[in-house]
Amino acid sequence: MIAETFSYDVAHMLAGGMLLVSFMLLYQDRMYGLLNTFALHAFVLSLSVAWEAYVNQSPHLYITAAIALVLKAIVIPTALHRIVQRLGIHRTVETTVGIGATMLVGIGLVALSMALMLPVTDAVDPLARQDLAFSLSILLLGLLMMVTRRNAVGQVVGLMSIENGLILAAAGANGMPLVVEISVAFSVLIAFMVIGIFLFRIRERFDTVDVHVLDSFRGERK
Amino acid sequence: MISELFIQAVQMLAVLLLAPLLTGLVRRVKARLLRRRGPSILQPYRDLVRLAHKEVVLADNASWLFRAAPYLIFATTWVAASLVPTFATGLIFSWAADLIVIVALLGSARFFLALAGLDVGTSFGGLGSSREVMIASLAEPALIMVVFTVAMIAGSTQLSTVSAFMLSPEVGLRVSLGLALVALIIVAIAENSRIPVDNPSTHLELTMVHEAMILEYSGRHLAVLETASSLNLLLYVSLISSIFFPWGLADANAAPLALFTGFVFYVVKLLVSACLLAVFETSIAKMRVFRVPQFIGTALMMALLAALLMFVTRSL
Amino acid sequence: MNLLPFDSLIAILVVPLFAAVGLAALPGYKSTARLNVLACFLSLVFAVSMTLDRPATGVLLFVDDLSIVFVILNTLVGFTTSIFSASYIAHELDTGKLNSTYVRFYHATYQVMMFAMNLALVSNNVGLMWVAVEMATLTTVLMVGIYRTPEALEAAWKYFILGSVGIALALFGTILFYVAAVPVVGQGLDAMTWTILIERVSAADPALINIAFVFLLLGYGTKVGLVPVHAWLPDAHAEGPTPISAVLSGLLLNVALYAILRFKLLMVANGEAIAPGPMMIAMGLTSLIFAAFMLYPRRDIKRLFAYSSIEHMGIITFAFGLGGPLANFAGLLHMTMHSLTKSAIFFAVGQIAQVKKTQNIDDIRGLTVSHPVLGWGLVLGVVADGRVHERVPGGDFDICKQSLAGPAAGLRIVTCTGRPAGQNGQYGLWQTGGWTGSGGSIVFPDDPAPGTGADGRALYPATDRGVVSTCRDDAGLNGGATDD
Repeated sequence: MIAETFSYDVAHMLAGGMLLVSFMLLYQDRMYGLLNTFALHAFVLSLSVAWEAYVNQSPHLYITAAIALVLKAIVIPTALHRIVQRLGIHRTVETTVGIGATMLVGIGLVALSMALMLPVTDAVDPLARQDLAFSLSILLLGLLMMVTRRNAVGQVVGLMSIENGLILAAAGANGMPLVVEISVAFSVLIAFMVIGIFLFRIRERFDTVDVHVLDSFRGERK
Repeated sequence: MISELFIQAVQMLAVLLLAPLLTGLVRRVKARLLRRRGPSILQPYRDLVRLAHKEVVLADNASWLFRAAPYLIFATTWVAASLVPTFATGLIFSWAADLIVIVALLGSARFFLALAGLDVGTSFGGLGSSREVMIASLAEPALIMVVFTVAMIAGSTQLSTVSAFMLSPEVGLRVSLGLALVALIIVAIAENSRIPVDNPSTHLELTMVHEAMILEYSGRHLAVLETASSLNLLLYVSLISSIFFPWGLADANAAPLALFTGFVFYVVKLLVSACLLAVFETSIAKMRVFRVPQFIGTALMMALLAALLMFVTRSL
Repeated sequence: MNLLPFDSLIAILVVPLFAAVGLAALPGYKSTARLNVLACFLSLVFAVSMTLDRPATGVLLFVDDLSIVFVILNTLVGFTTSIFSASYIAHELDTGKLNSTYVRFYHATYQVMMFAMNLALVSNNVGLMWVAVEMATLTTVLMVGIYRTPEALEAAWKYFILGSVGIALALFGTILFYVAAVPVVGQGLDAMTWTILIERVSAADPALINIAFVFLLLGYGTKVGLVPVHAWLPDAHAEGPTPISAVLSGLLLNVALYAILRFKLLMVANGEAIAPGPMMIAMGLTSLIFAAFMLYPRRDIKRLFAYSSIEHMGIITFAFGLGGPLANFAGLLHMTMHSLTKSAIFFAVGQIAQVKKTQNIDDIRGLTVSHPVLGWGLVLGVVADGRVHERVPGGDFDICKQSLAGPAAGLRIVTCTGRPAGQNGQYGLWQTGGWTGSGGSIVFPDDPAPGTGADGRALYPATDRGVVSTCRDDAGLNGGATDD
């Protein structure tokens, strides 16, 4: 059975590893731990995409893997580290719901995405199938992370983990043209620029990046 | 038939005799790592003999359960330890060596221990029992999920079949197995009252879990309980090595030389795991009690994830 | 017949790009404003020229009847907004809200945004369309936050987060569509090319494209401002510079809707996939009703019109969801009119806010007396927004007529229940009522006569009666045809 071959096993291991790191992201409660775990997330992503490139003989995916490695595993976490240091952002990341409950909901979301994606993708090859199922789980876990974080940096990390899941899906869908690589790199660059600008500005204006403080400026009262 | 019974009896005796040795070894290595000379490896044997000669001191309000519990705990743990393959698979009682049976036996032992801690009515006993049950409420589901994952991979919950499957080349590289291994190790640490969950050598009652439950015991009861906890440690080590590191396991019908080689491998595995456990215990600190659920919760999550990932592979 | 020496399709993309580079480099405010206007005008010219000489369908770019409408509308509103922004930004410079570096940045980003929107409208590759929509989103995020006040930052942050999540969902939907198309079309660019997909999608796996469409509807629906994923819209409109509010309302919402429409066409082409119509109808109606209720308590003028945009996009989505030639025409017409009138309203509102130095409705009074052109202009704009397009044949009445004809009997009850309390009458009542209630006090001076409150609320019953009577008129106009 195709699913039992070595190449599938490695891909499964890497994608499962990404899912595991997504869970690790959920229970981080310190800023530096969060950023380091995100760097690990991007690193496992780059390994996964590189393996995909090797198995499917699509050399353009090596570029994606390199972009993920350099930009998302190295540059962005170090930049965020510096921003955190420079702005003196509060070192702990508050969550709105307890960690245990978040984890259980996370498991539920993973089960949901498996139940959704696996029956639907019958005609697709096993590697792509499991990549799609895992990437939807990572996407949902990233959304969960954005919802349960009160800190702007935490929300941005959640957003970037969603992007990582999407890169996994795009790499898994065989033969998707270079357009996706460009878009992926592009979104990374722009997001980085926007994050940098906003975090500085938010800190300037509010002395904090706790987004609940932003709530007092919510315009719905007007 | 006779030889099969004999081999099974050898296993039963071997686990009983090797258990205090394992405990002594862990203590010795820990002491060495802390730059102490440490007690001799055979010290636990001497302790047990000494305790056996001592008089039993019972509280006035101790019930029959208090007197019977040590033997019940010892019996269930010894049976469970004898069932897990140590040097050979396919022993005569291996049809009963089902993972779920092992979990159930350990659960019964824990049940009696918790009751015994509550029996005399001291506050420390109650404290120990409540903590033990809190830990168990997370560790046992994690253990069950590990069992499910392993069973999904190997196709059976019977330990001999599982070990045989893990030895064969069909097993492949699986992230679910890795996750299950980590989860099982965490559960083992929790169930054996090791650092970071519980300090086995503490004398401060407020930090105790296991020790608090057996605080009132003395004499031969205490000897039996100490043996039981050593057997528990040996059981978990054997379980992990027979599922995840089954190399060296002989078949029960093999030649005596193969069986002996299997035994040597087993002793080596014990030594290695004792050293690893000692290193691990020395390198981290004990957790505060309210953090323990997070720690074991991680094991539960990993085991759940392992089962989910296995399910994904199966459906493809 | 080749009017121009080069392809006008490429031109509408290249012109904004070059202009952006130029605008980032040039220092003076006047010259950059003029260059901005010129670039937009050139884009408009090229867009119109495409009607005369339809470019060939390429692998990455193509133009068909649907995109022509959108492109011309896009460039037209871009052009008018650039004229408005020239004077508006001059005023902002004078009051010190922006400095010259930010103005350069603003103009350059404006052209990049126009490029991105044009690219989204003419792309044949669904992945490229996604890239363009993302680029447009990100440029508008930057521009919404340009004032750097706390409210602006909050609005921009919200827009960024919600917009990015929407874009992420849309990308997942796009990837799923590709995966569904691969067994039918083969790997590579072909499986992402719309013109090829529309021919072959009937052989694709319906279950997979169902899921894909749900993600796409939610993802791009965030950008359209459909309830419940609309939360960024009021803040972004209220806190950004008014030209950006005009562009968001008039253009970006349309571009996102265009993306949804492209995928809706694919879904319809595959007979076994679930009908996308009911989903769009549901979201459209929810947006309409929700926004209508949310309109009333608003005290900020730009926020008021932002909710009106949500309401209009709800109606347009509803119309496209109904499907059929009449409703599609109605949707396109409504969309065109909405873009034109909403941007006009925002131009007026922008001037008002600058003149009165506030966006708070309670502080803006008696415009027809103090600034007659602005005041009456706003009145015209509001009336146009609320009523005119209904009177045009093929307007919203035809949406109801369409639903009469089909099996959408249930919809008929909801939408056209009796006149004048029917959907159009009611909607008109809500909309116009919302404006006359608070808007009346904006434009008409406080009447010191006894019996009327200082906030002009006495005007409300009079205009209300006027509205109700016009509803009855409409019922008379279309007498027999809409009788149940």
